[in-house]
Amino acid sequence: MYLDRIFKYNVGNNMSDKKFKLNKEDFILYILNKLEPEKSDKIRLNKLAFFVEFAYLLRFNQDLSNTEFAAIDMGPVINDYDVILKAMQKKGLVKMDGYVLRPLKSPSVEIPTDIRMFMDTIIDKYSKLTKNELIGLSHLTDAYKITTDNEKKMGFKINKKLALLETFLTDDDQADQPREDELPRINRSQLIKYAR
Amino acid sequence: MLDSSYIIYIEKRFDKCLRDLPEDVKEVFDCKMEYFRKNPSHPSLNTKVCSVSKKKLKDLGVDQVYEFYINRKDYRCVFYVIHEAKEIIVAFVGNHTQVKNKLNG
Repeated sequence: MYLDRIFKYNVGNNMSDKKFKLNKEDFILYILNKLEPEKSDKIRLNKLAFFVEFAYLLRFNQDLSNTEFAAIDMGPVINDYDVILKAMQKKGLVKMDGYVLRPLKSPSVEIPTDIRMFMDTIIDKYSKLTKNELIGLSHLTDAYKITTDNEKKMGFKINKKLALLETFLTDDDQADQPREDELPRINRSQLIKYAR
Repeated sequence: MLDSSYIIYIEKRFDKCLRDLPEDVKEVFDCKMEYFRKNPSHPSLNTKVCSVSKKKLKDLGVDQVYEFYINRKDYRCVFYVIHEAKEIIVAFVGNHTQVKNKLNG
């Protein structure tokens, strides 16, 4: 109920009012076409798809695609990604060689410029990370932690409304900053080096 | 630009702030602090420079104030940076109410 409420009242959707939704094949093709060949693999695809979809949901309060996600031990992934990719290979949309993936086609629809720009920003930001960094980062998401009950239960679908709880996917505005009078003075004589 | 050459300090009293955190928040904080130690500008932290007046910075004896959110926007970590000494000082971890109570107490 709480999630439904905040989902309904979340603001910030200034993009075109027209509801645009990609199907999962076009969504996957768009991401794969953006990846450098040496960085084009299943892990990267899964992680980028998750970050793009969830960042979009958080920012615009609507699905970018009909892709569903599941929480497994390597973090959030596209639900049934192997089945989907094999079907896409059969249709001649992608080429798979073990974990390496290459697109053979472009998305079948024209994606509006503003949406493309948003997707590209997220893809650029996260595709610079290593696979391990992406996996580690995806484990830190609230959506993953909640779905897995802090990594105790695996294999469940992730409720996409959990995107609204994420913090690092947002670009926080100035209003969220601490006020100057909230900033505490530091007693330097009491400082110690941080150690976990 | 912050990098891993900066040394992170905390105040001894900060231990109490950490003890007061809810268990799940503490867990996320530890994870994020690991990222922060390796790379304070790591994308998972969404580290932001806070807009603070020169007068206040001088008053605090620091060059810049940064923050990152720990969880669900209400728990934040605020830290100060002194570039010449390459020091990062964790100033506070908590939510808005705790910050206010702490300052008024």
